[in-house]
Amino acid sequence: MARNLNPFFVANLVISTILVLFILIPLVSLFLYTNPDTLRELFTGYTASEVLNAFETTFKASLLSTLLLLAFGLPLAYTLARHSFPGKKVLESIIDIPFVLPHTVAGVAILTGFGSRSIFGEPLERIGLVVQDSFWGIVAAMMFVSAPVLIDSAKVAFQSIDPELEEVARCLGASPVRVFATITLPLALRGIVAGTILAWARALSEVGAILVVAYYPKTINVLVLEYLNVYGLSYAIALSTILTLVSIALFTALRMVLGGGS
Amino acid sequence: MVSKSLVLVALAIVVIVAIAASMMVLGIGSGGEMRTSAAVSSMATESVAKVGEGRVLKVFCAGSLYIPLKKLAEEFRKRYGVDVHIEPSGSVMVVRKVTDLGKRCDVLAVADYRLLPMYVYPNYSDWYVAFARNEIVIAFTDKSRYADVVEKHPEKIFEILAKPEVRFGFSDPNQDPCGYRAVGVVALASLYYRNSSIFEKLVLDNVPGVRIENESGVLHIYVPPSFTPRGNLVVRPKSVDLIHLLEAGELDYAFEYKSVAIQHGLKFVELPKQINLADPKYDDLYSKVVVHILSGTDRERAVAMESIVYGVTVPKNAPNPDLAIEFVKLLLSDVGRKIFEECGQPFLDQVLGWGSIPEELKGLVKIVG
Repeated sequence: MARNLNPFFVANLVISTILVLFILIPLVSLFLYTNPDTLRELFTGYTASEVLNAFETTFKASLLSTLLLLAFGLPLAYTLARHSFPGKKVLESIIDIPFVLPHTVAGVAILTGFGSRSIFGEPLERIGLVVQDSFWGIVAAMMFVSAPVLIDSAKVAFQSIDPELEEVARCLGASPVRVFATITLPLALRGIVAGTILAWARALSEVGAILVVAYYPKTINVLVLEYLNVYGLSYAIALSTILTLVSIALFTALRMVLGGGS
Repeated sequence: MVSKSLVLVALAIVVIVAIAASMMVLGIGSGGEMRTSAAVSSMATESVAKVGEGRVLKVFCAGSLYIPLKKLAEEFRKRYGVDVHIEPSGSVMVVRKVTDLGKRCDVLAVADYRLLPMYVYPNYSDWYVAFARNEIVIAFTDKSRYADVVEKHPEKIFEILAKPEVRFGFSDPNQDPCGYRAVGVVALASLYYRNSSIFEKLVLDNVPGVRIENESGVLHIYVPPSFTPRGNLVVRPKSVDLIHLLEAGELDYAFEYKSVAIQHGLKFVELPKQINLADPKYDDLYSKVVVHILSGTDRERAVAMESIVYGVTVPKNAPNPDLAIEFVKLLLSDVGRKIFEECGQPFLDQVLGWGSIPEELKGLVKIVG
């Protein structure tokens, strides 16, 4: 027990407490400000269907965006972690750009790139993929802004695995697919899970790019802004509180299921 | 264990208090700021130019006022050495920031002066003035479909907007005055051209849930709380948001304020005076259209169309009331008049004021209420 009270531990704990409080105090005050009557009204009044639809849209789009990112991002992250090629540094910087761009600019970029009147947009529209004011536009905006998070954390996770482990398995006759599935992926899993949660969270929180690309169907964050404008602060806060609670539950569950216990 | 963790929490609190105390001592944060402004107002007799050094004037304004106010702010900085921070947003949001979010600003300027008596005066300010005007135009770019036709025959604009391959937009009527004004302008066009299909094709067919009723010669338009367009109509929260889409070529035409079109270098169609909400002389005619926003809710509000007139005030809790009034004084002077003229927002023939107008402004304002 005495070991617990060494100065380093105490200093660490004190400093950590400050940061936790810094995050906690605004969140708690958000809950305290929430008016239960407003909360009830949101789900029973004329806003009910709009709010429920917005939740559905937000979670569906962010889930889809995260799954698509996993499907396309893991191979990319693995390639970046294991191979070097000319222009790799430039490519890595390009991948990080969506993180740097102001969100409105990100939205404009998506529209000019994939909008139905752009070069790529016209063929996409023919197969039913329209971005402007559509569900796919929301998915595109979310993917664009959260891609760097997932790719970078998966890359670091892959990099932390000793390539010799993979080579040994391959020498013992395992196919590259089997090596990836049984050695690489399990070892990198925690880093990938952490990256996935962050990418999902980033997708859930996006609003700036979505406002430009697809104001409709409305997501929760678009609705929060609209309610702040139209109905005032109490409605916006009630909506944000629900989003916060759902996110806490969701991410805790994800960590418990995928995070390997601890 | 419990007592140990209690000790640690207590320690943490001590550290936080220590940090907070040192910040206060160093004068960081609101405490220091408040002391300074109290000291400053006690020296009110000194020249503003002197006490203004190093202070920051905060202005909340409608998006459409951002550019002229920025130019004015530059003038102000030159004269008084005061930096001006301007925060643009939708006019209703401008008001909400002060009344709901409790944010403090020195000057508050909105795209519809009538919002001020509705929300701000007399609870949050002692006076307000109406000073400049604007009008609704239909903005487009070279990339817009039928741009060549519109340039030669601007009178055909409503015909072109109704074409199935043309995409046009306005802002959400429930959120932005430019939005309900756009709906009103389309209705006024129906009246002016004696062609009810204009409103049917542009609004009724594109937005489910909108109703129109003719009550003894006045058109009442009911806009539902969830304004969800389909077809060729594109809606965004503020009219300025539509400009990105226009410039990206995703939108062909947008209902905008003339000033916004000029300031963004867009081409635009001017509409007849009888429908463009520019001229206070036509207010009787404009008021033949009433737009009910958020209809069917307890927040439903009937907005009769009127000429577009900008309003400005200084909130009661402005951190720098002396500078704020100097800023409004410069705004209402010939300097402001010229800037606003160039930006497409000409002044009213006579600036109008309500409430207890500050002494410094009395010479510039005609007090009407």
